[in-house]
Amino acid sequence: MFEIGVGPQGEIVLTGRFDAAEVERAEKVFHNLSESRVVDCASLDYIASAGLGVLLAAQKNLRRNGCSLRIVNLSSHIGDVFRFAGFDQFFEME
Amino acid sequence: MEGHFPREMKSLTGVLDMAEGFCQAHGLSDTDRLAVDLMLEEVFTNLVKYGGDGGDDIFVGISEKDDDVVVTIIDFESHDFDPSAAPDADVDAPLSERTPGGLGLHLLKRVAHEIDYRHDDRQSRITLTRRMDTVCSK
Repeated sequence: MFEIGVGPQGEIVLTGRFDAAEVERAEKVFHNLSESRVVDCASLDYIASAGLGVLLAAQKNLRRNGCSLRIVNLSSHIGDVFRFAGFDQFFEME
Repeated sequence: MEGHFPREMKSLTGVLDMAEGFCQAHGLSDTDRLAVDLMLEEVFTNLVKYGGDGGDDIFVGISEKDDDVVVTIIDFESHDFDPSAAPDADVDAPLSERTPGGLGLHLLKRVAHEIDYRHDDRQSRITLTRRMDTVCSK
């Protein structure tokens, strides 16, 4: 199960298993962003290359306008996937 | 555990559900669960995306042997494509030079300790082995 929603502070909340079958649903949220956002991964159980691709495309788009995504509440094992992909170089992660 | 799954992206949910059942039954750690899911997803989706003229189904098996998790994926009527020979993504490139895509097999090689590939008579057999509770490095 995968859910993508918006929290009380405007943060994007990812929950469950963000696999390749969920890319289209996530793109509808991330492709329309025009300002900086926090992405809360406290309840994210899993992400693979397809999900990372959605975040990468959104970050590139936002950076052109001086904005960015900030990734928060990463578990250590999900954080490893971000680091394997080199995302720690252009995402603020905590 | 094993099964045959139709060659389509929506089969991924069934593949990962099967993996979840295996991981729960064998008490795998969160790190190993993530690694098993990554190994399955990155290979399965690659076969779906690039093996369009292959067989209707793809075989997926997961088993435990000693302290290893072994994932076996068999693609029938397939092209010869060795995932272990794919070049790594340039993860040190700046954001402006990065493009979505190309990360799947890179991640696969970070979490699988052994990748064995055989292609005979238009059948590809990919065997991925992970030693449980070990750390892979960038």
